[in-house]
Amino acid sequence: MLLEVTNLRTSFFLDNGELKAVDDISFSIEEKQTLAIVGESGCGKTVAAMSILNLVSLPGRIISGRVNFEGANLLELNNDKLCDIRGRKIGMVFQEPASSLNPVFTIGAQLRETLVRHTQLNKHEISARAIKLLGDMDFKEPENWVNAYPHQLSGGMKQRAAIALAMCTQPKLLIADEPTTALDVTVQAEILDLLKFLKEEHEMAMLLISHDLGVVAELADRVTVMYAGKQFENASLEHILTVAKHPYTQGLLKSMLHLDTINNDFLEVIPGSVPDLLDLPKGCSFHPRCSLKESICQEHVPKISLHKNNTLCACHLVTNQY
Amino acid sequence: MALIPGANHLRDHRLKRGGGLLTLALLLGLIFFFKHTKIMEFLNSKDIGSWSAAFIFIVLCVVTYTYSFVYAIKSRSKKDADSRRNGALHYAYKRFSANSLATFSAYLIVLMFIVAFLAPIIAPYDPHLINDVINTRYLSPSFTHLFGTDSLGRDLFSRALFGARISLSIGILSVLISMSLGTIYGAVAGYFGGVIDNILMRFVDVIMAFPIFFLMLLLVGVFDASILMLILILGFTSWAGTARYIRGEILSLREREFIESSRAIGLPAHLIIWHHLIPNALSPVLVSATLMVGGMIMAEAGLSFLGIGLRPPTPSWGNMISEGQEAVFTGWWIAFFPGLLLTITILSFNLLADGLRDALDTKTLMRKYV
Amino acid sequence: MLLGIASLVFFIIHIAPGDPLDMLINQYQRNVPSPETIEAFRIKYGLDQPIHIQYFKWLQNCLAGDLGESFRYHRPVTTLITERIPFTIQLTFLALLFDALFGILLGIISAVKQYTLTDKIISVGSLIIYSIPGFWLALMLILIFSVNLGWLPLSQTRSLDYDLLSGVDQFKDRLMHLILPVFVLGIASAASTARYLRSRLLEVLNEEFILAARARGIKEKAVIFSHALKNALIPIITIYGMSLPFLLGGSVLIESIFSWPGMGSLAIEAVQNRDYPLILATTMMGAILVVLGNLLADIMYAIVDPRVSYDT
Repeated sequence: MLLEVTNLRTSFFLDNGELKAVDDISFSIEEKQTLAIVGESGCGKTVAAMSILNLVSLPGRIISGRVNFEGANLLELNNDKLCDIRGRKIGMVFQEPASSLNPVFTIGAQLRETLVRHTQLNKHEISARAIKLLGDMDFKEPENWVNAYPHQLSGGMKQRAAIALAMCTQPKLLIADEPTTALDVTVQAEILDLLKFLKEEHEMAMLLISHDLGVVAELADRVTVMYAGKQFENASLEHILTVAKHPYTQGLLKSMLHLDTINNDFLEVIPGSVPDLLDLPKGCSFHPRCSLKESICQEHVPKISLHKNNTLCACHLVTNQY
Repeated sequence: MALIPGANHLRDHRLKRGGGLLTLALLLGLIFFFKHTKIMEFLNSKDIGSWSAAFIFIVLCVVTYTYSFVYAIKSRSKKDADSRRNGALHYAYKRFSANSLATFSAYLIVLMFIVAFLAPIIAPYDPHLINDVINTRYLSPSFTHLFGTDSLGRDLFSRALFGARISLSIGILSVLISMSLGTIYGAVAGYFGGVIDNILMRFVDVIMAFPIFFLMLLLVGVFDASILMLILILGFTSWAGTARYIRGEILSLREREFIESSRAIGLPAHLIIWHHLIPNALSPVLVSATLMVGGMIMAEAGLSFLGIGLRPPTPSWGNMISEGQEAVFTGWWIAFFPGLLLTITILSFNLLADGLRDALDTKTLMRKYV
Repeated sequence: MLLGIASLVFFIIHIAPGDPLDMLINQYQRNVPSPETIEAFRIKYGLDQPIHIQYFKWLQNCLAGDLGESFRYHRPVTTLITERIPFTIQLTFLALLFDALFGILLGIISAVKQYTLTDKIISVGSLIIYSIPGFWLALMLILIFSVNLGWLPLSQTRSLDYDLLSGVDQFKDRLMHLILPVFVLGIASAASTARYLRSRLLEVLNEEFILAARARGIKEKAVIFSHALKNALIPIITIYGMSLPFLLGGSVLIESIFSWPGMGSLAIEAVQNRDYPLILATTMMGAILVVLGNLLADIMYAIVDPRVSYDT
């Protein structure tokens, strides 16, 4: 097992209460496997990813849990060792390429900085490596783009530069936080193809964070569904797409745009909206929006439990007989 | 219990407000105890300054007691006010009161205003009184003369109290002028845009290019500086920044959809400006206005210090410091106390502005992650 | 721009009540000049002509570099100003330097140690310093260091026996005279720089690219000093450009206290004497200095910030 997250809890301590952004989440990623965390915006996906790298800053705090990466608990490592893993063994790509690149340094400078930090190459090798990295990310004439500032790049190019930064040292695991959300549709496909290629080429595991099941279906092997800080379901991609059990997952699937639904009258949506994380409903946090809810859902929080086919699900209505 | 102001607040653990009320009541009581003859005398006085001081004293007493009395009655009938208070303003208020430095300065400013208004009552001596100069001049601070006396034997504490009147009223009034001028000017420029905007803003550019203090110097020197004139000059030289800010804010706001929609339903221009644009840009203006009060007080003191603002014998903190400069070898206290008061006043306004900014800024709340 | 500045000053002075001649007459209190003399004076300075003619004539002369002759000193205004301006520039420049050094240092310390006691002390301390009127601070420092301790000179730019000193001592003497004025002028703006830089740094540290840099394993020191600081320092340049008017304004008071023979004290004299040409010229020079400062700041900004290109 490459990465194993167990019982992770991260909260933000705000003026008006404790906001449980990640509430008891467990998942694991094998080598070369791609796990996707799916959920609506504000459900804690990003915080979960940040917690893995121990990058949550005040007023947020990781309360409990373990993040085992290659046998070491990242949450207990000292800063120096943690910095050696960040960027070297685990790379990260952010949602907004425009804001994840430092605007006052050239792309090349940022690449070289990272390479200097994590490799023992000499100056010339590093410059050459930076150019090669950009070339690998489908930059045409990379030697010209090395000296460009982020604002001179288009959105797609920025994201490819950001991926280059994450791929500097060929990490074992790439965390991609909504890598395509901020981009145009055509560019999205380009970035997806690139990620797919890199994954195969470097035999890399990936943690993909997305709200878009279309993107997930392209890349993921296994999917975990989050809602309001809690984990609702964890199963293989195939399983999720075909026989998902949790009502929320089913809702997500139905609201997805399929080619065959275009002919239908309209897209189904999940009624209501994501609850306020500071003021969660009693019982199952999804019950006000759930079409199948029963009285027990309003009283007790469902526990996540193991079902057939190595599937995890947290719903009162999904019993073991399924 | 109900008869002691603030007691009920203290019982309900609203310590700051209760303490404030109690101190205020004590202060008023003490003043009344020692100065009641003076108050009575002032009430019959024809001099508007003295009369207003006595009048304000009575108003203050009435307000303090009615407020605590009403609170005492209400608190008996179980207050369910908290359930109603959920608006943004209440939230800002809560954040503000959590900032103890800012709350303290707010109380201090209120106290200073009260003391300044009551100056004729509180002051132990006539600020202009010159009597037996040889024996009374350059007395160092003591219990009879808290801040000492100056080169003419005038009591500096009394003069400082009257100086507070001038500093505070000049500060507040000039900022009021400056802010309303700047807001209206900026709103007009921003709303109409185009040629009007261009011309108006060119003028602002010109004004902004001046070192403001030079401009004030010029105006104060050229016009004769009475208090009223000083207020006008300070107000009329410092609105350009506000105007520019408001214009920028409104330019960005007017592109927003709710403005478009009010235009679409045919609201007239002045209503859109008044009901939509200005309230949206208000809270930063409030903060900068508070900040500016300190600046204005400092500017007035500076001008008076140079001898071209308020001239003696009118007591102003600025010209008192200037008198202290002349007597720098004989009496350190002459310049020290007015300057200290000046610093405390300006600091209070700056702290208040800081607190307001933090309280009103909703952006910092949860920008990330969630 | 400059034309607007000049016109504004001209009209402010000329709508003002009071006649420059009153002042002049007051000077001669002992022997009041005859009406003929006054009339001659009027004609000499063109005060007998209607205001718009005075305006255009003045403007014309301005463009020719002639700002007129001082009523009081009976010398060309331009020479008066060129004599004084180096002193003001010296003072403001050194104050800016002081500001840059201490303001930036304290700002960084305060931001890096956010929520600690050091941060609180620096934040509150800088607010206090910022709230102290400079002229009072100057007076108190004179009281302590010059009057009581006798360490530093009272005022002026140099001692009375300056010409008798050796080269090194001359330099030392000048330096001693500079310490207090520069300190007083610089410390208030250093305080505001520190406050500004602190909040700006904290803002930048919240940006995603800082998170991204940390996620790449960049050490915290490098994150703060290279990634965050460069972003936070760029707007400081504009702040400096904008703070110039205030610095110049402050220098008026400081120059007056320390009898520093700069533009500020010249402006005060001019105002006190209703010396029209001199008032016009000093105010204009002040504005020109500000415009130049802003221009300089803009150019610097364009050099430092890659996002600003020259052609826009």
